[in-house]
Amino acid sequence: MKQNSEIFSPKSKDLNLARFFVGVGLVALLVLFFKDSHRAWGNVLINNFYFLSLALAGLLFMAIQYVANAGWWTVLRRIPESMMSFLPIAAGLMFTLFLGMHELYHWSQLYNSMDNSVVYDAVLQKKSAYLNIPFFMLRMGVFLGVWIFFSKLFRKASLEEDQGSQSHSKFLKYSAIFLPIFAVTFSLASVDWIKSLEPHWFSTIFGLYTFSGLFLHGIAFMTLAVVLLKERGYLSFVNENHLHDLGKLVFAFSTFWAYIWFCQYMLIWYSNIPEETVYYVTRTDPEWSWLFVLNLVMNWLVPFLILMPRSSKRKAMVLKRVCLLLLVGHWLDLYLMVMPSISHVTQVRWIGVEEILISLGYGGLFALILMRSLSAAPLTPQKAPFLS
Amino acid sequence: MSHNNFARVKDFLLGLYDDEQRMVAAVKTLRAAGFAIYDVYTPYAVHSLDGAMGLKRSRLGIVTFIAGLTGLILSLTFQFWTNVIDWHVNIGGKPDNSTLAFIPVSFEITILFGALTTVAAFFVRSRLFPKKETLVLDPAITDDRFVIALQKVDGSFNEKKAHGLLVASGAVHIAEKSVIT
Repeated sequence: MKQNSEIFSPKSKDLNLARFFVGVGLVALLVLFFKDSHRAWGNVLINNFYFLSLALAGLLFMAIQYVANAGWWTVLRRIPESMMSFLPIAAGLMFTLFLGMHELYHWSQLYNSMDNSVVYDAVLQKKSAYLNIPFFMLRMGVFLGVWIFFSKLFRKASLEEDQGSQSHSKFLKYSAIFLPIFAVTFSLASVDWIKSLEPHWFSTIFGLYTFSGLFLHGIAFMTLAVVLLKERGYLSFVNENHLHDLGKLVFAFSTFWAYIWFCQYMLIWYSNIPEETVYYVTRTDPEWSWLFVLNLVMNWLVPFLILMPRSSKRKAMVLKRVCLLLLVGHWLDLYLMVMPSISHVTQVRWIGVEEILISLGYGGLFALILMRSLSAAPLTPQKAPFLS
Repeated sequence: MSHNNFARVKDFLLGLYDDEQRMVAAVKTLRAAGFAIYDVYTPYAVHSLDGAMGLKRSRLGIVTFIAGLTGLILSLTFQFWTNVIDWHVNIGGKPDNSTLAFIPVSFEITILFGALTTVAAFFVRSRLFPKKETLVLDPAITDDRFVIALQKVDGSFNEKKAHGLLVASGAVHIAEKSVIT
């Protein structure tokens, strides 16, 4: 195959739009901090986790393709690579949670000592060996450090391949080591950052649930990025067969997400134990219930019905719309994991303008980093064995 | 060759190739020249072949969809009928019509119906059944050769032209075969 060494150069229109969103988002966040700091921290957590999982999804997707020795995705490899370049920034944003611990995490009040309801809470006392601020921050550092380390390894090997060195076996080795580590660290991380918002709640499938969401919106974003790049005249190697493959993955993981969603919900509904149902009692409350239903409709029902016929998986326009829907849908999924848990301290009951603006700000930041990383190397991997 | 008058004889002209690209090109040339391809035998799945042969998309998916839908409706109705209409059992204080609890069973039945019907439909449609004798037009089919089979339809088949096209497109060997069906 002919070598394609085109280099991506972002349009100033796209860059300015992203910068504009970052500015607006920052202002909205500052305003919200003065208005309702609990809600502001909730938004920070939602978006931190959202964009951190997007970046991680890039890393995970690459590792899976490498261990499977897959060749079809090589033409799109720069996209997951660029997604994971957001990891260091996501890590920095994640560490800011240290300042908002007491506003977000009920259990951290144990160290505030003034709140008796926490000090005399037997469950939280028992859990304090694990759920305490120093250990929480240490774990955060370890998880983020490990992920960034692997993302750098992959990127380095990939750029070396462009210069002609043999990276194939390196990729395989890194991926095989990374995948089990990812499974454990991401599971623990999502329990730490999201599930511990409700420290009395038990769910044995929570790590898997956040993982299914991560993979779904990761693959949706990748597909969207492919379509957007093609619209701008790049990635000429990518044809509708690649889109079809991506569409199949979106379809499959949308259903996988719904499967896991259902597993968690049905088992908790069935056994009807208070320490498990507490999570769903809040969320099926009339205040939240229709967002709760909308979540399933957006993330599974609509994509499932639209993507079922073969022809719709091969059309860029259909995929673009479904992927946008899924990206918003996954944000809603996270919103429903976080906001109802802190709703006892904040008055938020509805997605307001602030939520939208802050998320757009994060999205702009993510897009800026993504575009910078995409333009740093030729858009098609050079000298990749699968492309020769 | 002697055979009884009631049996139908199919005569084939076979082009054997040792290269995937050449074979696919040959399929295109033959079709462009107006020959109907009887079948192509390859040692592995060749992605571009379906398009080159002008094969229509398989309708098996429609069978799967209808069978799956049937399974879904049947299992939901059956569970509703047993639990709500025919025999109420109080299970953990849940309402009789606990649709949520019906979902896993319905899910499995949907897949079971869809999968089994698809396999059955595939066997029926491609006339596969136990003890069926396989049609091996040439031993090379079972080896590493790419084989294009053309049926010599009475009257309309220009054998000389076909032979010429096969050779010109790079066939390593040309064979003929008669099959009594």
